Amino acid sequence: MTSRFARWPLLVAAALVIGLACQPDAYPTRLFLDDFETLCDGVPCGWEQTAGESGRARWVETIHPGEHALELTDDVVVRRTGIVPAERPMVTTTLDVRVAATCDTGSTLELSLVVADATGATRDETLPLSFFSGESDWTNLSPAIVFEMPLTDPVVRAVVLRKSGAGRCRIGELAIDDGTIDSASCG
Amino acid sequence: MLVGSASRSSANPSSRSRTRWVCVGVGLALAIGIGVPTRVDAQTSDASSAEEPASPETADASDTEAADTEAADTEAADTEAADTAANDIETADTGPDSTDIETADTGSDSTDAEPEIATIVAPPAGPLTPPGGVPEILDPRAEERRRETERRPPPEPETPAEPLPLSSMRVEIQPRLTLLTGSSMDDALRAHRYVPNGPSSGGHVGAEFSVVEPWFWIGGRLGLRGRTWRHPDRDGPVATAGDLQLTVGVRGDVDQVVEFGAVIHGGVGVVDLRVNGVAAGQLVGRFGLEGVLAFRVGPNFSFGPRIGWEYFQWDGVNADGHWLELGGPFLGLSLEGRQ
Repeated sequence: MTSRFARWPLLVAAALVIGLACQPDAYPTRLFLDDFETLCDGVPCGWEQTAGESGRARWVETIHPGEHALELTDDVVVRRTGIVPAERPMVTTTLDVRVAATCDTGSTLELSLVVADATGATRDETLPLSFFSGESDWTNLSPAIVFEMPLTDPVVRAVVLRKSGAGRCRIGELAIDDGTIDSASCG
Repeated sequence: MLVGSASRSSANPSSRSRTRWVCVGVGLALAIGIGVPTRVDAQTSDASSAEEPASPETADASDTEAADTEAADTEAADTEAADTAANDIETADTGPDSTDIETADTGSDSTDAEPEIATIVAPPAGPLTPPGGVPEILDPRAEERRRETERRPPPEPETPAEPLPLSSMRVEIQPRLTLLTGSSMDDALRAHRYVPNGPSSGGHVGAEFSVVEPWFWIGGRLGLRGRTWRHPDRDGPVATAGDLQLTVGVRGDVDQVVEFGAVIHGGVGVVDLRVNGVAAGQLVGRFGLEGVLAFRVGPNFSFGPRIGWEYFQWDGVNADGHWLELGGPFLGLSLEGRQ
């Protein structure tokens, strides 16, 4: 004869299994990622300087010899193109941006995105990035870009970084996600 | 009895008188022949009782037994003496002369002295004792106690707990977890989405030697440390470190099992930090303080927790001046072998 107290471990185990099985996918779709770890012609691969004095954009070592960044000094604009589109279909109105960067006091940094969706429409959004000027230490910012109309299978066509003011900014990582969490995968 | 019979068998008065003397002589000779071995037996008995480490009960029983035997012998001797006296009187009655009376008196006197000798004795062998000797009268309870004592195994002597020998050398292996309190390098790595994986783990092997005093120890250690980070999109950094340190410690006994102490250690370490497959290293100094609690599980082994704090930092990891922490408060478990 089984007492009712002997059943509770089974119930707890079943609840745990169901709960874990119904966990939503915590990983959003990655639309863009650059860790600036590869060097091409003095700058991180895929990047080109479009404005400013030559040589103001360069590939530098940061916190460790194995960790690199794009360094922008004074007034300069750089652009990244040739981005491989994500294969995962989605519909979203929000894009999450993650930037690991550090800027000297007096510097400002802006991020612009050129995004196209499945309808062929292209949208250009500019996002000013602000850092804790003065501490000159690495910070991870997570701003979000919200579109008025939903994007269907968005593709990031270009990423533009505009540096202004004295001093330098270093960007160690840049990631753009779709900003949505997939539905729970409960069967 | 024998004397009387011998007297009655004589027909001539003069030969009767001679016969009486012969009989008296034989009687005395018998008495002396009986008495001498009896004394020897008594001495032998005393000697044997003195040799035996018998209990007082046994000795008392032997005394009682001897006393009983002596009493019985006294009764028998009295009876025999009375018979002899009666025979003597009877013999005296048959002869009217005073010599006979004197002789009778003399015989009576001699027989009065005999019970003293006879009371001592139970001759083990002789013309008057049955074959096999006179059986001893034993106290059945004493005999039972004696057999019980013989059956019982001798108690094992209690060996007092020997003090554990003093150690002069220890070898140690100690895994430990270090609770990291954070560092500027951790913050910079976190900005790059590198998340630390729990506390730093490591350990060391070492040897210590007792010098000058049994409680004073010096030695050396060879240690390893490690910590890791993770990243959502790529492999995370790995930091490893090796160190060589000198130790100075004190150790005391609470009792036979528990020991306590403290250790100060210092030396140099080499730190290696590998990020995205690229390694960078640095030689750094380090030191620490460690509290010791040890439980001896035998003459040559002990184990116990260690708690303390250690300085193990890599200052100036990069041009930004970040420093990396590998030390901090720690908790370890030490296994020691000692000689």
